[in-house]
Amino acid sequence: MLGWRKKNQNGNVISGDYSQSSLIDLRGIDKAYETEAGPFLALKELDLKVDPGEFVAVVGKSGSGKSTLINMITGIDRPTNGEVIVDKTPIHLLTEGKMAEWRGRHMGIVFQFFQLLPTLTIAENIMLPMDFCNMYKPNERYDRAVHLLSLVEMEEQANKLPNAVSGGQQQRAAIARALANDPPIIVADEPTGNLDSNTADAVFAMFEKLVNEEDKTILMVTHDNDLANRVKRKLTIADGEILSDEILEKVLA
Amino acid sequence: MRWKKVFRDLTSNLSRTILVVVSIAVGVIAIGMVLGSQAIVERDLPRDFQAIGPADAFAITFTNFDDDIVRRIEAMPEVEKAEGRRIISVPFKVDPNGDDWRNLQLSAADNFETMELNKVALEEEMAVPPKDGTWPPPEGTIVIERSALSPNLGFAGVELGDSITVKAPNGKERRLQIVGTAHELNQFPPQLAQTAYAYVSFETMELLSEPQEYNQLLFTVSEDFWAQYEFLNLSSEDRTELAAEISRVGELVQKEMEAAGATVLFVFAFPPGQLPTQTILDGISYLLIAMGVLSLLLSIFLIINTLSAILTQQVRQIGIMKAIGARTPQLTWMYFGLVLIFGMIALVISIPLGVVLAGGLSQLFATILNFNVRGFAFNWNVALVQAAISLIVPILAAIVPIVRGTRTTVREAISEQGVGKGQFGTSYVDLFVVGLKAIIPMMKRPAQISLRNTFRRKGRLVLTLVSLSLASLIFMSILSIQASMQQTLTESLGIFSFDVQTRFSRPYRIDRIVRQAELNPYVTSAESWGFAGARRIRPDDTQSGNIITYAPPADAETLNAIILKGRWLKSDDTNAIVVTNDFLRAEEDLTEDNILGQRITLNISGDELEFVVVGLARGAQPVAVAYVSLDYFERVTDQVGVAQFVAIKVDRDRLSQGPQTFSEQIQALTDPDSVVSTAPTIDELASQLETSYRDAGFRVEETQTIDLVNSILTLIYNIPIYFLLAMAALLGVVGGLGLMGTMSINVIERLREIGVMRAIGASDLSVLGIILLEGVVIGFISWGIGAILSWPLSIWLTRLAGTLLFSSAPTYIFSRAGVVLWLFIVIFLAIISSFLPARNASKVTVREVLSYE
Repeated sequence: MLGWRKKNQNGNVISGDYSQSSLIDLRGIDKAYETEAGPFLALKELDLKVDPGEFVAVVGKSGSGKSTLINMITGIDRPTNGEVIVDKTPIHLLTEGKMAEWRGRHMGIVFQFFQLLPTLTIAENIMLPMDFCNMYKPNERYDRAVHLLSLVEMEEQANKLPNAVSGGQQQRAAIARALANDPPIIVADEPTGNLDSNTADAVFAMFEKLVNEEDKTILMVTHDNDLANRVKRKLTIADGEILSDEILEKVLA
Repeated sequence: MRWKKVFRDLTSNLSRTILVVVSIAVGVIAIGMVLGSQAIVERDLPRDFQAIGPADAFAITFTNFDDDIVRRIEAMPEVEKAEGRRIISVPFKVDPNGDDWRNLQLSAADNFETMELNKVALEEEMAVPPKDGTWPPPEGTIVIERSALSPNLGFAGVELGDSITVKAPNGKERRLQIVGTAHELNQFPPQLAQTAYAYVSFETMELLSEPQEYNQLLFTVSEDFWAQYEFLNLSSEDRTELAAEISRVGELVQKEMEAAGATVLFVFAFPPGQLPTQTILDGISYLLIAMGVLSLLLSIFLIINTLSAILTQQVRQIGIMKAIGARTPQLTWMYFGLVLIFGMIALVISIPLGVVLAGGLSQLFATILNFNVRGFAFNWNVALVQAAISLIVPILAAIVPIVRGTRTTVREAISEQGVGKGQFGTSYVDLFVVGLKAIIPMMKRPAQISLRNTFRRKGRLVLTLVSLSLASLIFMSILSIQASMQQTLTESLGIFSFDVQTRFSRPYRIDRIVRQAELNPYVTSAESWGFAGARRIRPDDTQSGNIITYAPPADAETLNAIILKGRWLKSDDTNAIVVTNDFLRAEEDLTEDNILGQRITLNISGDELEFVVVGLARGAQPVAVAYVSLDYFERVTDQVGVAQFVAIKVDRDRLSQGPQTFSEQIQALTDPDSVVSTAPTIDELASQLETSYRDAGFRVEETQTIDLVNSILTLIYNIPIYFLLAMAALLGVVGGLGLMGTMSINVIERLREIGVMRAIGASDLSVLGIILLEGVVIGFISWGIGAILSWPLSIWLTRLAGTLLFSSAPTYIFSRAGVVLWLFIVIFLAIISSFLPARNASKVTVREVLSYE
């Protein structure tokens, strides 16, 4: 979708040409929630551009708006004002159903609590996004799942049910699932929040490998400042605004 | 404040509250409906029945009798009251130019207004009644029994003031004007008997060339007789015994009548206080009680299921409340309070709904059994039972989940995170389900999720399956029973290898009877049988009930008896007799094992004759039947060369089958000239035969086709079948509700998983499909369980029903059509039940889902 015309909720014709936009392009995002105490602005006129191959850490205190920001990028939530263009698609205009399918093809999500489906084996969990989005030939899907599991050193556990493996292993499997449809973007919400420090290090190393070797773009929400300081770019969010956007050169060095 | 939380819990999730309330209400409404309708029937039916002055017995005579004999019987010390009636069966048609003859039973009494036994009450008259009044019906007019005035008994489009054509026993036709409707409670329902009832005066009987004399005597036994007994709560066995006592008085009445010159065909005694339709009523009552208890039991499962799920969802909140100081007893009472409120809401809904449905159900009874219902009834006893059930049962059902839930520690309660509620993967069942992937490699991942999710909450699955499987089991069993009964009935009626039977009111020469029948070009053969009512004189000198005794000719073509034991009659037999298994039922001293070779004494028309039993045959109708050799019968009854019964075989291939397909039926209705076939249908042929007998001067009592006998018996046997099917339908609804509850709870529990699936690319349709398929899998399992269990159950029930109805093991057929039909029904039911939860699941957004807890 490179050019289009459409009426927005207010009836105004809006149009855009996104062929020149960044991989992730947030333009003037406001997000307001209705609360009993009145409207609460979780994001305020926020602009953000992320280019392919970047590894971005999003940090901030509880309630700062970092999860809301991630939800905008994944299409899980919609802005009150502004535009969200991801991989040249204005995703804030997609219906829920279309959004789910688009997300399945273009974005991998890693959750804090792994969220593997307990009735499917590890390999089946990884094949599921391929099924949903009809990606890869059916007879290739298992081999791809095992290949992805080998990337996260989990191929031995392919045929086990999730509750038969440890939390760290479940998170590795969740990362493999996020890669199932080979999406350009991985979004991880506190991926190490539920892991011990050794396992957290291993998971982080895996993300670095994905950026450096697989050319993925990763956005990671974290509370862990040490981890945040190891990435290329660190966004600090406070009161719904980007407080700082730092390029951490030392990592590159 | 904590009660505020309870009320918020009620209102914050309205659909959940509705689900619990409906779960409780289903059983409570069913109980209210069943008990309420029984209370109405018990209130109205006995009162109606006592009001008609029911006769204790009646005698049917061969010969006519007058008031002198009635007074003579009434003077007997054993008799309280006696009245005479004249009852004749005649054909009638509505269209004077048409040929659609139907059955009508005409009753005449001295005065319908002053009669005291089996009273008939005028129900409705014309806007402008005849100048002599409507009741008793003036000469040339007729009053029809109200429930008979229906299209399927031949009264289509007939209104008061219209006339019908009646063919008198001598063959002459008369137009009689319908001037009113009447109500006679003491008749077998016309719809079941396939005969309409009507009332005329003796003047009208004379118009039909009938004498102003009686052929039926009704009587009640004296107060002195009843004084010997103390009436408490009579069981049906007590009533049967009392009927036997009344029969003894009946024998005395018979002797007295015969001494006065009347020939009595038989005397029927009724169990006191028992309607002609009592057996049907009792059967339906038992079924309804069973239905009520069953739906209550299933509703208990439903309640346990729903409450357990709700409390599971509350575990986290319980943990939080404990963390801020709540003690376990406080929480326990809070949740019992919540359950009590659910029960109270259900009660408030169930009482009025139960009353309305009880009114509807009793009205259905009233229509079938032809009595009056005097409106809805609020019954305190029924309401108390409903209150007890709706308040106590949910509390009992909630004990385990509440105690388990409130005992959860704070740490356990707040540590629940992420997906994965409902253990899966540890049991053998789970491993088997996972292993199915190897057996069905084509099964896609979403289908695998559906299948495996089915087995995650095994307790919940079992509770859901109980009601659905029961519905499946009962439905499929019933259809097998029905198929078996129909087959047995067809086989039983197969012993009559003729198509039309005619009974005459007096004996005629056999060669005349046969010749007259064979004049009709469609008749292939006709055989006259001897026919008489008989009673067995038992070793203790008591007499049995009426036994229909046929004497077919040797090597009869029209009879094809199924011999269960011993042999059929031979041409050189003298006093040999073959009895049916229905005969054995009433004779305690005779069994299938000892019957052969027994010497039994029968009272036939006043003569006591001894017979030797040579065979046991399968009965066709639920009445005692015996067969004796015609030569011997003619000799002993002094009726050589004459008979009162003819069995006629016709060439069915040459008969018109009538419009068969739906389009043919429509065409026949809209354009009667389009029917080119000039051949009569079997009913038209029967009517032609009867007319030809009457025209030739025969006095015809009744002409029936075997098809009609078959359809009457099928209808009677089908009444309990229909109620059982209604029971299966109710169970299906309860099962469907249970499934809907289970699926809703499953969806609520798995919202997070659904959210994850949405996050990794599942479309609305995928999510909808996964949930629907899970519901269908549950429906399919219940179908499998039901189908397997229905085989032994239907064999057992068919035997039981067969023993009751046919006095022998019937032919068993497993209804494959029933199994296939229920598969479609249950899958449809599963889709309907799961659709709402599935749709809800497919509509939630990922953000809502992932923030859900």
